[in-house]
Amino acid sequence: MNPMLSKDKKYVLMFIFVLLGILSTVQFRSILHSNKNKPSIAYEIESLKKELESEIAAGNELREEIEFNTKKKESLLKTFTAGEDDGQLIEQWELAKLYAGLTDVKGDGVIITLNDAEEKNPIDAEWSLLHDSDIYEVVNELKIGGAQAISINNERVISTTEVVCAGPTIRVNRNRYAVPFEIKAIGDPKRLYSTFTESAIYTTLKWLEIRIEIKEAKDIEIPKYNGNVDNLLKGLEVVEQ
Amino acid sequence: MKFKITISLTLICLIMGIAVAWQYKSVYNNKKTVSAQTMTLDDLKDKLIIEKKNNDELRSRNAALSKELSQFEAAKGNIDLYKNNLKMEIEKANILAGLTDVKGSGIIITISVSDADFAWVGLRDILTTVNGLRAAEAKAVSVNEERVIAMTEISEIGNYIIINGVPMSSDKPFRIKAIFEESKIDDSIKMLGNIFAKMEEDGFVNVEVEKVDSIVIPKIGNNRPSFNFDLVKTE
Repeated sequence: MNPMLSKDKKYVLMFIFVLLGILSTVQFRSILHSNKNKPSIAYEIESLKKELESEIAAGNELREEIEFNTKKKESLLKTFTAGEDDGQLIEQWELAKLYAGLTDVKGDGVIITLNDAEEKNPIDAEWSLLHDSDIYEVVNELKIGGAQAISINNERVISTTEVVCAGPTIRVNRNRYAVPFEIKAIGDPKRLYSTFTESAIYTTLKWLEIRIEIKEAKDIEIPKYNGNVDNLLKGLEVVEQ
Repeated sequence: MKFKITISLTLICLIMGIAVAWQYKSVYNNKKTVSAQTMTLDDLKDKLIIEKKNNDELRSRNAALSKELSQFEAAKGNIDLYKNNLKMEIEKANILAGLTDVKGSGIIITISVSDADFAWVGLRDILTTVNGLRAAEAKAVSVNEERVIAMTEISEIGNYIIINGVPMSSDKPFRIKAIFEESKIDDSIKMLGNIFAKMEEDGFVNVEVEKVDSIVIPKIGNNRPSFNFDLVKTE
């Protein structure tokens, strides 16, 4: 054997084994590291999920309780004031609630569904997403078309209803919703349909391939405003006429 | 002999190459799962905070309701209490519906164009402002003295912006008034600042904001098309 060659070989082998050593160290460290982290994070996620579920359940229970107490209050008020002023107060109340969006209503109209585009827009990925302005512009078109009651994902649109981006979700009446969106409007179905399909926002959203559908519907049910009215009136004072 | 060494070295290098590639991939994947988990973790934490806040609010609302109910129970037969309470409920609903003039601390926003020959106030400027005001928790809003109610539309025909069926020239300045809770007014102005800066950048309009201790916002006018309920039925 050529002695020169055997020396070369030694160096090469040494080099290879050094590399291998480093490699296996990195490997072990990485595995140890991920094993250390994985169970604790997974555990934390599990417990957070459970906590979140119980909070949501508690919230639903509270909402039911509030609904129950509100009904009880209404019936108490009605029972004890029915004999007064020939029931005019009750009548005034029913009308005021209707005007303010505080009663469930029903009627013919249109239902619009909105969702992000199915594929990312090649020019700008942002264009394939639904934005807050898209929604309030759609809602505005329905108002132009003479809508008399509107809801967004069953959140009643009232005088203070905001539609605003909050991270990946959109906030309506202080509650957060993600896509898809369902917008219901009561009014003259033909007029609502034609106003909307002839609008600039409809053309734009179609062009951007945002998934948008509108259909006429009968007996649409739109729920009342569910939030706390007292919060909406803080800081307002009535001017006596 | 030399040939054999070359072959074995090539083989070793090849195996090492594969091993290194594998190694990198595995480390990368580990990092990815960890970061994905951290993301869901943060997301869950955010959701939990929001849900807790909502529940606190619901709890206090329910407590107020229960208190009211127990007062009702205690005052059985006291018709005046019920009557006054009912009148208060009617007034609250009327305020929310926009049927009363209201007063409070607030801001006056003026949207104008410097040269009416080249620019005009657009529908989007008004729509964005009104939605921004609602997001900033404005309690009542009017545009050029037209009260903005639930079904108030904002449309545009030629040089006019139409609100509640009332045409307004888009060459002239628009005065938008909003009432806020006094303690929140400065935060709201700050939040609106970003929206207005973007509007000025995009649309050749000037936006001025003036803070006022007390402003009056009028009720909805008579016979406005946005105040119409002939097609809705209640149960």
